[in-house]
Amino acid sequence: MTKKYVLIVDDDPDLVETVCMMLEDKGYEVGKAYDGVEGEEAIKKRHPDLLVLDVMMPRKDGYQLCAELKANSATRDIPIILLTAVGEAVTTTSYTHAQGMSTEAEEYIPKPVDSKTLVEAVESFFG
Amino acid sequence: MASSSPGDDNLLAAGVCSPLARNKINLTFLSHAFLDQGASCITAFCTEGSAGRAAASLVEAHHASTVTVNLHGDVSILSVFPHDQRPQVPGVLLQALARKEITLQGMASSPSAVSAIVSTAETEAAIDTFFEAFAFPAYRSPSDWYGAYEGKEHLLKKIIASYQEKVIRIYDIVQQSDLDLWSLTVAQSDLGDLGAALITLGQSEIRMPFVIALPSLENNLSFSFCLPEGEEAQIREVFSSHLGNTALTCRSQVAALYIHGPHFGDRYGVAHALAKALESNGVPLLALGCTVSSLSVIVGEQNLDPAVQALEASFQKSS
Repeated sequence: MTKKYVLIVDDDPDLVETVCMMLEDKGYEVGKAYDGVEGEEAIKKRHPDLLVLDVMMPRKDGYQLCAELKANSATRDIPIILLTAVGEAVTTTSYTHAQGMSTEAEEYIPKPVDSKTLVEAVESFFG
Repeated sequence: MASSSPGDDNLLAAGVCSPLARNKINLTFLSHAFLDQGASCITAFCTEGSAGRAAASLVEAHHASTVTVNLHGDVSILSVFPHDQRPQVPGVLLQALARKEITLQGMASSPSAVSAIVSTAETEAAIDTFFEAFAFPAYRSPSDWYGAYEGKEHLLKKIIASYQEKVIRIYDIVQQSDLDLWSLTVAQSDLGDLGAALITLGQSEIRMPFVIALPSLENNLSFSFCLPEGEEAQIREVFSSHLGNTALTCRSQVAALYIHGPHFGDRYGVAHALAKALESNGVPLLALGCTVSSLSVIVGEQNLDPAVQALEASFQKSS
């Protein structure tokens, strides 16, 4: 059976490594990208079955990439799990969980990420 | 940098991490090792520039007579990723710095990245030489890279508040056993040869999951790194062919623990929680590297289980 391909886009390379390890353990094939532009390039090269997308990244943030993917008929079907910051714990007014909820992403998980929650969320998309 | 001779078991926990955590000083880089078979130990750490002098004073005050503290102001941390445990990555990095005669002031690896400490005055030259030595798919040139981060610093600082849980949350603790811990001291002028040795090891498919470099006497650097056990003869041959008769020590039966996701660098007290957990459970720490957002710990293999238990009791694992 072909492995499902999950693309992780986050500018924290250690977090990418951790999530990659967790999902590979569960039998997924995992791609890595480290900012929104690199994520966009990776999606052009290979259409992922699921995208795990951080919000706050250089060059192109997760909101912008999410909006662009959902506005494009070729990529609209890619399910997106958005990793958002929890509003009440963050001093900045941008990049809050509430703002993440206003996007068209299929799922929102607050940071710091609970690995069990993330793996369960990924698995929920594949039955 | 704080160094102690003879090696002081309390240097890291009580001498460095505890006073800094108590004073809410965040560490952005930390490496620690016992050298010369325990005869001395060195801890190197970075803080934000504005906290450097206070951090040095706190460490000095704790061990006034037995610890030497040196403050190197105005340095930068440059991280290259992913390394995928390939020795070629630190090898190429060392060769790149050596080629431009850039002084390496410290080094540490995380599960994904290799970080180098260089003076801010040499940072631009270091970035240029990294772009010549590595291919970065996301950035064609140094100016692309500078452009990506321009204006983002204030956002990165503001997000820090989200990670001040009472018990530090982590994603996972990953163990790796059957390793040897190697140590050698080289002059700055030998960094290119050391880089060549690491590249040769990588070409033999040998994996290097851990590497740190600490500044030592006379502008030398003391490297400690882990390689798989059972390869000692081949490894000695490679180092001998590139570095002549440089003294190389090997401690067998060690294990590595990688603590993923405590957001090291974003909040104070992470290294303190780790050092205190190990010390209070009587687990000697052989080497430590903290950079990017994770902690990498080297212990004797016989201490692996107690180390894991101590860390699991001190950090909140999410699953």
